[in-house]
Amino acid sequence: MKKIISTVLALSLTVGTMATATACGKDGDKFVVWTFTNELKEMIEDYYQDSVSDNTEFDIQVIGVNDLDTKLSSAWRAKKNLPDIVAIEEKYIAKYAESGMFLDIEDMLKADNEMYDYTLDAARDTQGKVMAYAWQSTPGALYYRTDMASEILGVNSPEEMQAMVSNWEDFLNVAQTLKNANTEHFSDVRILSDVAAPARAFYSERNASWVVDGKLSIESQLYDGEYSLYEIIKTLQVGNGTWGEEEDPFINETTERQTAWFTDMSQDKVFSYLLPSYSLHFDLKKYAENSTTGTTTAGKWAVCQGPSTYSDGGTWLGVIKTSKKAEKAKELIEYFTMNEDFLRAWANDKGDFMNNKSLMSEFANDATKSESFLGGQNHYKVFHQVAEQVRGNNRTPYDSKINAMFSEWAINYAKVENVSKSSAKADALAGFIEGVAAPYGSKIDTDITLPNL
Amino acid sequence: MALFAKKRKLNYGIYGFIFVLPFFVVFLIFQLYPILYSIILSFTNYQGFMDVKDATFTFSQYTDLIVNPRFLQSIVNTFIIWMINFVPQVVVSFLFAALFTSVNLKMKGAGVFKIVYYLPNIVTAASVAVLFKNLFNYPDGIIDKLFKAMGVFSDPTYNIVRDAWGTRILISFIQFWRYFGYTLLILAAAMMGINPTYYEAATIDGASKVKSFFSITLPLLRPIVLYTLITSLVGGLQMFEIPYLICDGGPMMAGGRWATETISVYIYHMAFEGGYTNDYALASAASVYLFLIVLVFSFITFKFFGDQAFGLEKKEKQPKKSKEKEDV
Amino acid sequence: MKKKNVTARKGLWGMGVKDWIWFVICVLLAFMCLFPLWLMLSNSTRTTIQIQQIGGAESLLFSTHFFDNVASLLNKGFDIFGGFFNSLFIAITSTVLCVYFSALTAYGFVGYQFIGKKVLFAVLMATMLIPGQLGMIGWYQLVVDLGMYDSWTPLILPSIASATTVFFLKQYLETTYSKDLVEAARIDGAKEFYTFNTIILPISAPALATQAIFSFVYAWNNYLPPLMILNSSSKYTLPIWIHQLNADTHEVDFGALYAGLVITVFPLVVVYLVFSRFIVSGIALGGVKE
Repeated sequence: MKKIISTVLALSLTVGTMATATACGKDGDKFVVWTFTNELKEMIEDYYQDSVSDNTEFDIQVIGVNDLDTKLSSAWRAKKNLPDIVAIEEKYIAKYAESGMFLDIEDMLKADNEMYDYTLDAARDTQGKVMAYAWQSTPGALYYRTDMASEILGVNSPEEMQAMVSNWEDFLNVAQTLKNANTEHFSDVRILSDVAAPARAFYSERNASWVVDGKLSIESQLYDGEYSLYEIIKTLQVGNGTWGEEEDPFINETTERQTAWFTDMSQDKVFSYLLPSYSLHFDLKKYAENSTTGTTTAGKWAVCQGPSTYSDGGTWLGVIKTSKKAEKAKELIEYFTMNEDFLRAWANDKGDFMNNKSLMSEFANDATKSESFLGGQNHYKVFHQVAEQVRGNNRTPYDSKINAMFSEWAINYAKVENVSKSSAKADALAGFIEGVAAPYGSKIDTDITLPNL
Repeated sequence: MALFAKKRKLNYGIYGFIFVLPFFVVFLIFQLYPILYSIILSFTNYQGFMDVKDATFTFSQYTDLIVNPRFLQSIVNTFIIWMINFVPQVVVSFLFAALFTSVNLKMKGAGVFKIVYYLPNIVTAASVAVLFKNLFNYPDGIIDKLFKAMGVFSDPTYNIVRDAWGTRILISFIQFWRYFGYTLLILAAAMMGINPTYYEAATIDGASKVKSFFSITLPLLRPIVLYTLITSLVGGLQMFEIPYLICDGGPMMAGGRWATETISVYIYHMAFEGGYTNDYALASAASVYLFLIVLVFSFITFKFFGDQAFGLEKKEKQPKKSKEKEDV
Repeated sequence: MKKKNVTARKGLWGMGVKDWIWFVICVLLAFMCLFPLWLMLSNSTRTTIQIQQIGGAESLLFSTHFFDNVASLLNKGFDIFGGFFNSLFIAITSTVLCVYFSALTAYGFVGYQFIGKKVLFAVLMATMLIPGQLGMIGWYQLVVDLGMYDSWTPLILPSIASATTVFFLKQYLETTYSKDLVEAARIDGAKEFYTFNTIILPISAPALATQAIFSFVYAWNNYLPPLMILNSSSKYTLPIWIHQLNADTHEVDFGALYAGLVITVFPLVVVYLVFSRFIVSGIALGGVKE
């Protein structure tokens, strides 16, 4: 019996060592890529490898966004088991840009003048050096229903629509009109599906980030004023009702990316969505057809800039410092972010919005480009406009958490939950500030006073 | 006789040592090292992507945590959620374990029920969280709609994940749902190990089922009950996946606190989601505190249920058994 | 004889009123357990669009796309079968090592006296109390330092030291272990190890079977450690592949995902069915009868 145990142990150790031996052997061979979508995989296999003649073997691992973060951080800490290049999502780009994990990409490969500024700004480290490049740009705009616009608002083109929603005041007026509508096909139409949608736009349009000179900075347009984020969310949530008593919302009370939010795309309750460029393909086109009734809203949509200019999401490519294949990595990144043939091919095949101003401008002015889902509109026009205005220098690594906290308290304010009505705004802001202090108090000075409260 | 027995014990003692050795060797390598690593880290200011060599020693994490409202709230949350889950779970598991292993059981289908009750435990926490989120989703979750129709939720716009107590009860329920089958299996396995002759003797003596339960089953099950209590306590205090996946520790409360953030979720947030400031030192310190809490409560549980867990021979039970032998 | 028949047939289906009440309660409880799992099953038969779009009661209705989803799952270039067998191998070896060595360790504590026993047991108990998460960082560092990444060894070997299993088996052994049995074997000249394998293991059978189930389920569903250390897709376990489906935030194929989840759960149900028989027959094997 003892013999059996010792053999088992010996076997496991041998297997272990053999496995590691093979693992070590593999180290030098393949070019390792870690990413969180299948896009990069497809880009390498179907586009890049066809364009070059070398036989580099690629090892592409697709890992979920949050898990990628865990795996990458752990690997970096141990300085082993690292990839050569990695694709980072918007949520993490600030963190990794400042981590010292990437090679200074500007040194290696100068960016052409075609990249939208915000994509470069978003990937700068604390010294201001760019650490990663993006091949796509993800500006956001307002996708709206043309049939509702025409029947209720008397609007017949995206330009006319834009004139009606070019600022938040007008936007809320339209919300009111839609709510009170009672026309042949539509009644009680909500302008948005989820109430937190405007938040993204506000965060993206700030002059500076959440942290200025080490202090928490809450810009006044977020809470102070009739068309601040707080008030807009409140107006949308309360609608025709009375604040703190009953709600008759201008929105459809869904939560982003949950079933009801998707259902709204295929029905006649919601008028518009604030979404980024890629949502056209990933969300709207997929869910426009109602799988129960079989009806579809395709062709009844158009896009206009809306009351804001913002961006949401995006993917950046960085080279890990310990990579022994920096040359190859540079080649790859150059191909994906600056090679016009690739950018054009990918944009034509996928309808994606690329990080190249001239190309996007060309697309925008191309009269033959039309998207049947949008009733024949060339959406590049709108997105190109937005992309040029988006800010990239107002981000921090804490953004995803702090943004979520701010939105949650804004909603608390609107619904008078977790706050007392008489001091709702102050309570909500206090709740937010304390919420930030708890994890980040050592990094961000939260002892601030807000004017005009 | 006694001396002779002692000598033999000592001689054989070495085997005991050899038998437990593999456990401790593997433990030393794969568990102790990581734990010591973390404990040492907890006394430094190690953060983010710092090089370990650059970390300096500091005690401030420990002092900061004691007064940190969010951390203290996480302790409260952990206990609240654990208690709401645990008490019903123990009662229900015991009840049904006794029912299913009862010698006089006439109710059909016990085997099938056992399988069904254990099924929730087989599914991963991630899947469970997704399913329950789906069911309780406002505005179109099935159970959400059902409860509103039944009047359980009076406000038609009630969104359970925005309500502190609602989310806590939901999480407790999910934990109950996941584990009561597991606890049932353990108790049933243990109850099946009890010699049925005891029950027969008791019935002959005229004892009711309830009396048999309290005088025979419970005392003989003491070691297993202790196991159940300790593992549930430890598991409950370390609860992570469900609170994290359902609501990420939320919703938020005033004072920078979170409603369903258990200690483990707090640790995870500090260690892995602090943006760039992944504060491992703080998270490690919180882990040490958690360990101490668990230690204290386990100690209390052990004391309450007697030292028998540590004892070798069943000092109390031996005489009883021999008595039974004589009687039967 | 006639009397016996009458008493056996008392009530409907041999169950009296009281039994029926219990039966109904059990059924309700079963319903509560199954309901969410039903959702998982029904979702695996719907398309991704349907899952994402249609919430509410309709999601409980089965649709017809199960095999489409499975086909989709297999067509993603994921080595599902490879992952399945990898998981199987890892789960089986982990379970065997865990149960065997835990029983051995438990017996070491129960059946013997040796110096430092109390201390060692206290240490063992203490290990159960330590939060698992944070050891993650140190564990990863260790695996990397030992050069064991991209191998299954660090996933299987640690199962030898499973404190909760030891604790459970020890507690169980205390209720079933009798010195006399062992003494008898010793008198007959049996070696200690032999005694362990031929006497102790059989009387612990129900406990071993129970722990085997738990250990298998745990090893099978274990997701994060394999993800962190495995790089070669040929070594991936099934949960890693399934989670890959969840990776592409905007392109999650929920249909395939749910189908994958159902496929993942299925072997566990089989394992449970197989081992639960042993728990019952264990009573017959066990030396509980005096």
